[in-house]
Amino acid sequence: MSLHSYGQLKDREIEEAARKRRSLVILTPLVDIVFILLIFFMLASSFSDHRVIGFLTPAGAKQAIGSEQPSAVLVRVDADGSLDMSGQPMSAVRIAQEVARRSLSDDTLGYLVQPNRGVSVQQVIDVVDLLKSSGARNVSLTSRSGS
Amino acid sequence: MKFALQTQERRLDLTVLPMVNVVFLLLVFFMLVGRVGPKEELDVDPPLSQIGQTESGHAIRVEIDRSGIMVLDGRKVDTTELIIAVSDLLRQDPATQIQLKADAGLDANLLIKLMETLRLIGVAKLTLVTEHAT
Repeated sequence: MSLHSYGQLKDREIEEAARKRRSLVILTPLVDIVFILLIFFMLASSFSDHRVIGFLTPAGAKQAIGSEQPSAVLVRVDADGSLDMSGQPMSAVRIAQEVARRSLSDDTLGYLVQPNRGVSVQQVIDVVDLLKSSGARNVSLTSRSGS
Repeated sequence: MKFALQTQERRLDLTVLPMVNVVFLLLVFFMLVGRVGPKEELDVDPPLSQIGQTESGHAIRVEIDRSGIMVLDGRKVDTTELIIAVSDLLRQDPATQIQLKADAGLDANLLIKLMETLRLIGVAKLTLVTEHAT
């Protein structure tokens, strides 16, 4: 076999193999679509971990606890972050202890969080977090009276 | 010459395959991990919280940004328009849930006033969106 004919044979084999492969799967359009899908999902999807905090409203609360209004403790938040509970200034740690102590004896006790002027939503949610993680089960928000 | 061209073509095919694999993996990752939701109108950073629970059921979302601008259904609304829209929804379904997505920097009294107004018109379930703090 001459070198020339050997080359020709190899040539034909490769050509055939390539044709066979191409006829089995045509990859290019598939890859195009996968790329488009990838870009869509990359742009459209969000990764933020959003949760919700539910607040009972009077309409919903009526079904939950009947018509009688449970007693509530007022927790006020000031713009500089200072807190007071039932009118007495307290630190966050002290409030957590107090709430934990009270929730042992009466876990239906309600807490009303009242922000002062200039308090941000984050500060209020921090206080709600503090109360709930100390054992308070019934936390509501109330606005500043007379403002 | 033809021979060289073909091996080159084949090699190109072979190097494309790992890339396609990776692209597939990325696609599957984004499809499973990300959540596709409606586009948000306002730039709102919800407050961080550790006690937030995962959302349950369908709720009407109201977005409120730092300056108090409210958006319902992709449309800017003022308090009166919001009250009218929510009353309409409540008439159709009294169990309508409202989800407030307020910015962490918003004045809390503004938000609470709005929550009180919504309660007054009969919203039974009101939730506040938070970002889960780790």
